[in-house]
Amino acid sequence: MAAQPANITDISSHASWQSTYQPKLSVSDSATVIESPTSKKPAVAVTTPAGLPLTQVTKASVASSPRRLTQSELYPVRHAFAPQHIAALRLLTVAIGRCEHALAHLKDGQKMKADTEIQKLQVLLPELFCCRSLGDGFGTLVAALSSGLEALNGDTPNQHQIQAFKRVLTLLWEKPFLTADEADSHLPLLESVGLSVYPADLLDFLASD
Amino acid sequence: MAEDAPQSRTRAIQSGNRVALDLGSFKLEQATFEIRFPVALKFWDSAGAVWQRIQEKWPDMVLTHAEPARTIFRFGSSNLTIELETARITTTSPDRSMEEFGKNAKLFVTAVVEQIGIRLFRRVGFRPVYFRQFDSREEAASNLLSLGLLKVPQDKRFEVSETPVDPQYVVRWESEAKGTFLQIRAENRKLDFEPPPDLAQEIEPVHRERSGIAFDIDYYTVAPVEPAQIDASEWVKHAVHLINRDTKFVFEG
Repeated sequence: MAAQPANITDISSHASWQSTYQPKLSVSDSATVIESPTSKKPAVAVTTPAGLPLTQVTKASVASSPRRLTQSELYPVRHAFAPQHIAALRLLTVAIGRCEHALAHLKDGQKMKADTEIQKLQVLLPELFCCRSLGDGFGTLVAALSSGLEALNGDTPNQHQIQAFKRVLTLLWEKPFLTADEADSHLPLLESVGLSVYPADLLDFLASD
Repeated sequence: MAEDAPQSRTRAIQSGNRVALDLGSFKLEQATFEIRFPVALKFWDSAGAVWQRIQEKWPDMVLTHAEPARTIFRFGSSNLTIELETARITTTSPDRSMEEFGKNAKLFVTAVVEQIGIRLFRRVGFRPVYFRQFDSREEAASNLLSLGLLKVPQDKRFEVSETPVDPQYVVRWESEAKGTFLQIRAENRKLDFEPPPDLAQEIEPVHRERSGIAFDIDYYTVAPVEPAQIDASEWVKHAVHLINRDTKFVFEG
């Protein structure tokens, strides 16, 4: 049987299928066999095939690569969502909207209205934290947002801090399944605008030793 | 007077034993979940670590193939393959909802991503293959043609008067984001197994033929995806739902 074209998810690897079944598919004993370069036995593994592109993906190349699929493109069927996934996306959409409103109010000099939006954002976080089964990174970042807001002790966050909140929430919306390590790599984003990303109790405990 | 075979075959195809078809009447024969990524040279360093991590989940898995650029393990009815640019799980006869398959795919992909340090998926593909068995090659062809997907001349062509057998309907939809490759084939599968001479007294040879229609659909991404964007289990659920919803046109004529 000829090798599958490269743009098809390969199913031919199953050992029992290969060894026992001789399926009569599009190219079979009743078809005229075409000698195709792709049907040749691949080079044995001791020597790397000469044509193999040695392109390692770095963080920079990942960032500059073409567009990614969005969550709605990856998960297009509303009925098929896991409850925590759709709840997270819904809450994140609302939370990002709160940040945008707060920024708009700050720009207009209406600090009270901005503060109201941030309070509304803060009450969404516990429910968002309940969606942490999506991934360890998700829980890490939501907890960091919560700690950052609590550490402000009721003060209204400034424009840079709200922008940082928005960036983290947008990141979670785009990549809800990120790992704890990836999440940790984004914590400096919050810390750089003066937000504490760890619970006050934890910091007290660590300081008490 | 005994009728000759070609006439009999033509009649079987034209008035064959046609049955109502839908995807539910097909058996889910195999499912594959595959990720492709830029060459992961770290696989040479981490092959043992990644398989050890997977073995913690499936202790009974068995090594079936190992070479530097490709290792394959099997557990139960699943095959797990990791190559320099690809990782894939293939399961024979998975449950119809594919929930268990999706969970296994997630475990496998998570281990590969974390141990090999993959930062980008060039392509993510899900390919279930369904099969509906028929009594004969002619009956399979007749039923596929009765779906009205193919326009086949009824008169003599290429000096052959019989109606065609083994018809296939193949179509691809593809955008910048995603694609689907649908193949519906009437197939005649031959199973020929001859035991090795030293086992000939213990095992009977097997020579069997099965005819039917294979419904083979490959749902995949075209634009790159980052691992943090995708949960294999969730993605498979959406893909199964889409396949069930959007392939109805095949059977509704």
